[in-house]
Amino acid sequence: MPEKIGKHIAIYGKGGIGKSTTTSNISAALAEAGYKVIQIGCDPKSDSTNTLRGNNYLPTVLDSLREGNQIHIEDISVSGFHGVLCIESGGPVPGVGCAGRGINAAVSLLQELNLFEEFQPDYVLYDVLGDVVCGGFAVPIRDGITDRAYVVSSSDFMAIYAANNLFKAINKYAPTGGAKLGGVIANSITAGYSRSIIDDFTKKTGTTVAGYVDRSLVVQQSELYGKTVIEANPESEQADIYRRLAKHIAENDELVVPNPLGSADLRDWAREWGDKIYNLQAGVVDGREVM
Amino acid sequence: MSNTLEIPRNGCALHGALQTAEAVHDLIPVVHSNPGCGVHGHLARRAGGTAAGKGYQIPGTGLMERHIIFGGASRLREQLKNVSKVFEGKTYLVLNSCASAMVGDDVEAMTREAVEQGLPVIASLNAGFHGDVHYGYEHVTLDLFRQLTKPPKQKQDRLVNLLGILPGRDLTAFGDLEELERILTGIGLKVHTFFGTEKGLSQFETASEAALTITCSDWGRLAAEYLSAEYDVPALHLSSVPMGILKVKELVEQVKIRLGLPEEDVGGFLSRETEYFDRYLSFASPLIQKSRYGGPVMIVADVHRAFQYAEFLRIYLGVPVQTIAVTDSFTEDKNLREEKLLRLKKLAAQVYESQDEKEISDLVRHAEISRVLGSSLEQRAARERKLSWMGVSYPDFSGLYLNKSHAGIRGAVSFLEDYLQSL
Repeated sequence: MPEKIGKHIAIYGKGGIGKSTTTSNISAALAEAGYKVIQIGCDPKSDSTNTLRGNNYLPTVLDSLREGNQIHIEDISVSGFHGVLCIESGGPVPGVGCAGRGINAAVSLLQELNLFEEFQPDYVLYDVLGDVVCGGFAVPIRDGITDRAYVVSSSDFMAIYAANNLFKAINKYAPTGGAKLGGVIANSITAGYSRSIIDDFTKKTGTTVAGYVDRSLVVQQSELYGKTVIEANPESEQADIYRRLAKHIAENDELVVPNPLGSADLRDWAREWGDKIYNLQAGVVDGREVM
Repeated sequence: MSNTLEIPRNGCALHGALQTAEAVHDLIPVVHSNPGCGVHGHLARRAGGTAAGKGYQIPGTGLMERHIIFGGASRLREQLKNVSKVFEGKTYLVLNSCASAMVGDDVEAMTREAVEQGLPVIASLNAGFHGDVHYGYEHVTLDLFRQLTKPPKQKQDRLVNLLGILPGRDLTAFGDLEELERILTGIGLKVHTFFGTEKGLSQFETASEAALTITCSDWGRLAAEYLSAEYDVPALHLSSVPMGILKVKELVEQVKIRLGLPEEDVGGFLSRETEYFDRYLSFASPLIQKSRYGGPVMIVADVHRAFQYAEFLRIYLGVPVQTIAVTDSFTEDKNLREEKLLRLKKLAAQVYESQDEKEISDLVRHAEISRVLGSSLEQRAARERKLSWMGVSYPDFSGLYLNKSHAGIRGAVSFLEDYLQSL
């Protein structure tokens, strides 16, 4: 594989956890700081870059592939906020075909089109659909396409479960040239214990937290405006949170191969936390330290 | 079984289904796969003797990457329309492949849609990864009964179904079906052989009217059990393809009892067959005497064929079988498997299960044998030791099998010729 142009970063996480919002805000923050950024949405829903491009129509890579016509980069990309180049892989209609293979084909096509040579990006962010359910969804972290992955997770068990699955995939592919983990992006942080849960999970798996993104109404408001927080509310505290996160991701070179928890260990770990939280909420005082 | 499998002699389930479907007259298989799945199986059979000289005319959807990503169902829809124009007036059987199964193409919905539009289309979803050629035969046969067989208009007390001989896999499949049909017709029965006959399709339709299903291997059991459960057609399970007068008599006797045939219907026929068989056996007796000094043999074949040849060699030629290598998987029924193993061990000193060319060739190299009855894959090892070799199982690279038989009476005589010539 030729030398990579720019840092290629994959961002994973359970569906609905805020991957696209987080990724778009990181892209916006990096672009605002003067970097050349490409964001590639690897999700058949093709809505990863919506807030970067003001919901403008963007034909997906796979739509173009389906048509069978000669494809040019300008047909499948649009310049968004501060010049972020927005691309959506697209995919089949739900319930048909193979979205995993689709991502693979889309990424291959972008390489064939010399996208990176022509655009010369500083950062390429891949916003990858949900859980790593099969080999197709591991494509961005395999074969040296990206060299680092981040996972967005809240303190909900299912989000952590998905993060742990990504760790398993990284653990499998990293020894043969796959991406390593940059860290966990702790998203939608609310109650006091949610940080502790994520901290404990990262400690158990030998990973680190790249940044904490508190739950905020500003995010929702910006989304409803069809914009990133960086664009819609640049002066807000939330925008600074994303800027700090983007800076960390841009500068962090401490990549690790995580040690995912086994199924039974993960279940036991979650149960332990369940008891702690229940006791805390129920006000149980039994003379032990509950947190 | 070794951890690596070298030159396995069994193709995939799709190949098994395809070669079975090809043997049904007026049934046009449509392979829903990426290019190569169908033709690969065909070329293997051409090389292996069971489709030597035969052309390839199997329509397929030739799925490309975009069909994998977006689904290939619409490609199948298009292809069914095309096929109906090229092969007019036939019945079409859609065969699934690994690729289409993995991306979840709704083949059944496409089939229903084609049927609603008036096309006679059925489907058998045997993706290659489900198993090997035996699985393909077993399941496509079941699917053909499920989708083609109609409730009986009238039960026919002298009609039998014959299953368990695998076209494309059993070298002598068509000849054996013809010979067993001749024998059963000789005792006053009508026979559904399903494969290799121009009445194949209609025989599938009326299989429910039969009074008995005879299976010559475990690979016919599944379909026989379906016919039994659905249409009350009882089954008679044989462990091998009957060969030689004793096995033919056993078969006839069992059928006579099951169907309540009068003795006068079978007695005369069996006498004539006995006389015929004995005549040729006596012609060959000097050679047979000579062959006994040749020492023990090794048989490499599927279970039902291993039984067939081992028993024939012992009964009529007095030749001991030292080693048997079974090349198909035994039934999953543990008791049945144990019983079969035990019976095979009574026929041979050593019994192995393997599909691996190297493992079997090593057995050939080290067994205390003087000749090998097997496939071309054992020929090299046999040649190294200057052992005589005879092709009885797939693949036989130098063989041409049209309607040669090794079954029944005439097939047994044919086997005698082949065996004695191979010495």
